[in-house]
Amino acid sequence: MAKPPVGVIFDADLGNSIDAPLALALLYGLDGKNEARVVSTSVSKHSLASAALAEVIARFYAGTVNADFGSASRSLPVGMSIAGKSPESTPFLNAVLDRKNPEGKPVYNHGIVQLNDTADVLAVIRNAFTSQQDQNCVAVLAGPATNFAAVLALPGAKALIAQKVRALVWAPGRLGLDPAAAQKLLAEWPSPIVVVSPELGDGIRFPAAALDSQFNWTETHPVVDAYRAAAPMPYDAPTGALAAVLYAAKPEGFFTLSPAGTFSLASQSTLAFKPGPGTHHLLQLDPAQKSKVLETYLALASAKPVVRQPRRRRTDVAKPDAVKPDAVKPAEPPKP
Amino acid sequence: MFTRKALPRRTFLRGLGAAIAIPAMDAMAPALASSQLPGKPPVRMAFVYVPNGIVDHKHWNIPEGAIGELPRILKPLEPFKNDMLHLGNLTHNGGRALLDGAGDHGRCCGGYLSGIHPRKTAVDIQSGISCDQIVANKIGSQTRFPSLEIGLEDGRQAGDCDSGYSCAYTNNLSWRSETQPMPPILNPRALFERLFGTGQVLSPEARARQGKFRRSILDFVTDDTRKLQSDLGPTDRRKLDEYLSSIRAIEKQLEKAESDTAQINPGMDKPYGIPADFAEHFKLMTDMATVAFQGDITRVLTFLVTREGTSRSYREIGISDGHHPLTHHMFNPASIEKVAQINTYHVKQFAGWLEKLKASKEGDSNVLDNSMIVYGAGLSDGNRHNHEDLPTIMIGKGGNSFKTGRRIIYRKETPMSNMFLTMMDRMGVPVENFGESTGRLDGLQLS
Repeated sequence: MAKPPVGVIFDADLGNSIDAPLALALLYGLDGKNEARVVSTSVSKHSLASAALAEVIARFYAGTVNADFGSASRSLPVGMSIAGKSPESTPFLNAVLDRKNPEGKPVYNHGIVQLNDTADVLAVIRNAFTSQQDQNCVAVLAGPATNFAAVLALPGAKALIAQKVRALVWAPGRLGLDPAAAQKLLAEWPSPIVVVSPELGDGIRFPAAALDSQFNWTETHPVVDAYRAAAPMPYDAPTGALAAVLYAAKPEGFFTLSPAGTFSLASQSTLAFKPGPGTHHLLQLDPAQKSKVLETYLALASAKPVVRQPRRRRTDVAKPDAVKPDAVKPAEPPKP
Repeated sequence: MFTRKALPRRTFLRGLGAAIAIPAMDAMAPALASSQLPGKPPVRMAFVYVPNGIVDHKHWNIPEGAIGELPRILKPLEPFKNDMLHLGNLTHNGGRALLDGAGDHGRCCGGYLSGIHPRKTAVDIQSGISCDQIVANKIGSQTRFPSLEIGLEDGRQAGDCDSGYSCAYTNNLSWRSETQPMPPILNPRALFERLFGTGQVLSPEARARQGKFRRSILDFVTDDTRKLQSDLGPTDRRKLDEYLSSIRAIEKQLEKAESDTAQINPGMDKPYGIPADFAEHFKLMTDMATVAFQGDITRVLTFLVTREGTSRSYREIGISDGHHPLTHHMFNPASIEKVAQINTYHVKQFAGWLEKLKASKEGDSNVLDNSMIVYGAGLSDGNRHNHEDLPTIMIGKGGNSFKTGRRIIYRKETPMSNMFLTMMDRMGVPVENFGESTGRLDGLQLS
């Protein structure tokens, strides 16, 4: 049986930089075209608002998050770090979550009000890996490595990742928030790591003008609202996280990889790459592909939600298992 | 002048083919410390597992915080709500398909106490060592039996019971190793003899004599009982009398069950000696579990109420349909109502056991206070076959460790294994990680 499209386990410090929400939009665009599956989403910001934005975006795309757990396919809740990193709210989180309609009600609904509306982030990420076919998922990380590094400490996690994960694609922003996690990730992550450099992210900018030209099919789009609030308009946003998602789903046709080598933490906030033995690579862009990449970003990130039937069974009525009828056992004779 | 010597904690009344452990007594404490037991009473752990999930969580769940009025299914536990921790959002990821297709009943039970994903097979079974057995391995030498496994429904140990999953997964709760389940004792007589027999094989003549005259096991320990009574103060004497009376009461129940089933049509699917009535069977087994905890015969118990995926009917309460088919109710209100009745019926029997444990005094506390009794299911909703937010309550303070009377809703996907780790800590068997654990459960402790 053919494997389903690649599953993406997405983790970001959602709320700190606009490329992460754009990347989520792009990811759901790929999911809608059946070119990737959103398996889990988690945030490394210790912030309910950050988790709420992830859920708002998931709901906007009609709940296509699908961990595909089998007999009752279902979505995983949003995992949130409670490691205390970057807990502050940000203008674009507030802009999305506080937007009200003329009746004074929130435009974007979500179910995250208190801590226990979020999920244990380690369990979410680990459980997402367990649900995937071997070598058929990619971990995408935008921001600090807090969550993925913590998952590595779970017993059996490294073997599980080696079995399930094709690669980790990392757009490493704000490393200074958790340099120890970055160090651990680079030293211990068992699959190949592909790093998106800041230069690549800066090299292709997401044009502000696209908000009017590409997203004009709706007046309420959480990612558009986030974009407008993230910095004084107009500005063109860097696209490091988008590159990570696009490469995760489509490793051919857009980017190339550097020769193998090893990344290490050069300072509290920068990585250094040393070619040689190793399983790390730098993601590279062929200048000739630049316009194609940008067009793809725009087309996928602005794609309309696709309403479709779950890939497998309905979630509310799982097919009963074939439990065998009770064995009939003859009664023991009375004891003398 | 005080010359009384403390009675050893592990004192037995012995006789022909009998060895009865006695409960904690004041005489086990040094002189002048009559209201205190020697050290702290032992902490016990028990897991009571009900099959096929819980039908409708609106009849199970309650708001977070101090427990107020209990919902329908838990109503029988009203007298124990201050002893209860009602835990939300605990998850067993290993029960999910994880690419193995159907078989939720096999997986959810086969890995319930180990927090793992059992191998899908009807032959070369593989689960994981269960948390009760980890504790039993570590502290089991302190009691007569490291652990006890009991159940109420006969089941095969081999063959395919659920979509390719071995019956070993649906019919056992406790696993000594990843390939060795611990089949529950179903027959009350077998449990009685295990608890109070010496393990020695009686000659056919002796057994026949025992049976012929229907002598109580207490008759065989008369000499030891008299000797002990002469050393006890009035409070201890009364406690010993009550304890031995409870054993005698169990014996009478057993005799009645044996006499009843001897007259039953041999074609009936009910082995000799097992009460035909579910409630009676439940009571008999849990009465013995009470004595086992009272007498410190064991500190670890697993109780598979009925096997996972069971299609048992409950004619006792007017339900002739099978439990499992009813749980796939297709939103038929009549079916939902019947499953709710079954769920409530189970809880009602459970409450009867808790009453006994609470009535068993232990120094200034009672056996329930010094226990952690988890009651729960490996499936959340039997209709949906989901494995998150498993119905889970814990009764007892674990030896004054837990602040009870509360509903705590954990973060989603919090592994059940985290609860097992916390319980193992309390049993004096700290383990770094277990099953799917990501840490310990927060918020249970007194401070």
